[in-house]
Amino acid sequence: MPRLSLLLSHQWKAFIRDPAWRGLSVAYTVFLGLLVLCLLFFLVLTGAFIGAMLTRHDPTADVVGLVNQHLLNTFFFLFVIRFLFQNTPQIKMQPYLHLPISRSRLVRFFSLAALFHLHNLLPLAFFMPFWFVNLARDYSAFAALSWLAGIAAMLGLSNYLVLCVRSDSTRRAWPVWLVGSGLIAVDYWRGWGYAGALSSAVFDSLLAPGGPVLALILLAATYLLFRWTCRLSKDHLLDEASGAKGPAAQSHGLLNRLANWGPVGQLMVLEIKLAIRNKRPRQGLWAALILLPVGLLGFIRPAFLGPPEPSTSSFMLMLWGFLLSCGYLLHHGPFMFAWEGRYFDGHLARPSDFRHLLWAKLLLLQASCLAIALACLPFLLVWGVERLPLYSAFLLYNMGINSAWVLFFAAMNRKHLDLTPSSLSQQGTALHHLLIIIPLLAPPVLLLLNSNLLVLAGGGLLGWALSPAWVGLLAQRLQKGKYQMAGGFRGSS
Amino acid sequence: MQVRVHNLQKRYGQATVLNLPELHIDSGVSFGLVGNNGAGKTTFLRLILDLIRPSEGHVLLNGQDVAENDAWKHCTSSYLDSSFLIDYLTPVEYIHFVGSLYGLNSVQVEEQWARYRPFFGDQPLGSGAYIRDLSVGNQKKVGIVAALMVQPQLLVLDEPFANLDPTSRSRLKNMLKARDQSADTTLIISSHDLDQITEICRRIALIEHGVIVRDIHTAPDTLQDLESYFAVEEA
Repeated sequence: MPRLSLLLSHQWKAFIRDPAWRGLSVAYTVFLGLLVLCLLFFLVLTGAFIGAMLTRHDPTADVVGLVNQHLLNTFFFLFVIRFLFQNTPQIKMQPYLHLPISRSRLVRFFSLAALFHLHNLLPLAFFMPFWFVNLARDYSAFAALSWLAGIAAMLGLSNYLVLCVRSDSTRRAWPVWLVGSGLIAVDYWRGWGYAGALSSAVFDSLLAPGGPVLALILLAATYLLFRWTCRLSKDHLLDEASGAKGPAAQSHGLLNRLANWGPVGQLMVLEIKLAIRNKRPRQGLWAALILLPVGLLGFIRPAFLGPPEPSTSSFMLMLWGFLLSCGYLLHHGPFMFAWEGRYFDGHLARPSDFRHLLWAKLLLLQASCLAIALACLPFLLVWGVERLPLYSAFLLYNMGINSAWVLFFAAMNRKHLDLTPSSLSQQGTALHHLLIIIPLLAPPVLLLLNSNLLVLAGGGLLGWALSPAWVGLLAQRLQKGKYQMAGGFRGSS
Repeated sequence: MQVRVHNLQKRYGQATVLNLPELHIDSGVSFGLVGNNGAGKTTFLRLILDLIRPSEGHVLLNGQDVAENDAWKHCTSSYLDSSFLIDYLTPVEYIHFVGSLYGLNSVQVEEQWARYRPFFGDQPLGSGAYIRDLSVGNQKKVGIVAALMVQPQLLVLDEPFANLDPTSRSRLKNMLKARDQSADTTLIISSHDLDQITEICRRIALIEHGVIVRDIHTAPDTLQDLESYFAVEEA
């Protein structure tokens, strides 16, 4: 039986020897490091001084009460971020499965190790200074420690809930998650405040005389969820070992017709098959479709959700407009090439032109924007015709410029993505895949703030007309970087 | 297709994993590479296919540097490992895809598929199973057939006999020998199977620590020579 320290040392080596580091330039690594440091610094400062900031505007403000009121929504938001980006331990267990190590022990170790993740550590960078400044001195030791234990328990619950939600057995309960998320969203938009009230009830109670009991209950719940996660993970390992095979391939008439468009059509078909036949890209497709009604509600803001946005130039409106018109750009685009990492050598060895490959991807991204727009059009015409110009401008911008931008960033991928990993895995994704939204969103927002819709739409149209130029430039870039790309994909395969 | 290697080196840090000052393979020759694990065989094949950048030197196919342009790819086919397979396609979809890249139409691909179908024995490949659901051996056969069917001028295979059952090995050997006799295809294969490689290849290079230590024109006693070279006397 290996010692715990041995497994820990393997985790450390896996991190520092990660082939993804090899593909990154020093400048980019330093940039990422600085970004994380800045984020840490910002969180620590916010945690320490949020009380001072709040009481500056209102000296009578109950800082802890206000923070408590928003904690549940915050944890919900963090849960969504985790769900999309948190790496999960399942795939790390594979190399140990054939060794004489108890699977229960293995699952327990990796499930516990999952706690030491940025998604748990970064929130603590806010909560610890906040606790020191606002609770440690002003409340009794029992109350202050209960609150801290409650926060730790919520992070743990959120951590293990993500693993449970991703498992096969509970995924069938997706309508429950959908309805729950919908209720929270409506509560937020409608301003009912039920989530805030519940949040206050829980976290204020932690500071009340019965707080330690509630903290113990939350910690016990975390432990139970941890045990349940271990059990699900172990069961899933057995499922994987049984080698169950997927459904048989089906022919698609539409795809066959598309394949007749020559090499670009063939490669488009290949990308579509990649998206629909593999678990992870398919999840992205589902996410895009599930988020569509949410985006529509946020953008149109029908009357039953409360008063409309006061200004058409509000940031939230632009954000919704951007998200709703970007089709498949954010869900699939940033991972292009990385999806193909495992057979990238094959692409290089065969006579397939990079231009064809890029055209196929670009056209698919543009077509996905158009397809989503067509799906949204009836709703926009009926309930939000006044939003149509803004939507159209973003649509043109996303098709003309952001599609090419996404391809540009995708060509920087140096780590392959497993197409069919265990359902608990987010292998190969990283924070920079999330940060891509900044260069995609900032220019159109700045354009809109400083000019008007026509400029945004015109920029999009111009970008679209320049598509051949983008493809040419990106093909040159790919040609130059193909060895590093292939080496990165090979190294991470 | 002629293959010429000039001052080819591949280094990783301080370690030189391949060093081939000069090598010339004539058109139509079947050229075998043998050597122990880590000798540099796969590195050489990757350099031929421009999958990795040489630290120094060039690989010239019909006089053209492979790193300069991609024209050679239209008359070269290869299968090195499973990274060449697109595993969410069915075998039939995959060979149609590869065939289309080499300018074969559907009818021609189907003809080739029918020609090579016996290689798979009685495996039910038409049932819609994806490549990822096939056994390792059958996956390899898909990759090899896709490389063979496009009638290349240069065929590059890395350890094609590994993971194949005895019947498939025999079939593959016959297919490669038939190709050697009937077409002007240059064949470069690496293998640990000395028996098969001496039967197929007219010329065999023995590679060790990145250097060709012997360059043999196959003769009746070549197999014995190679076996004695690799034999280890236990203490």
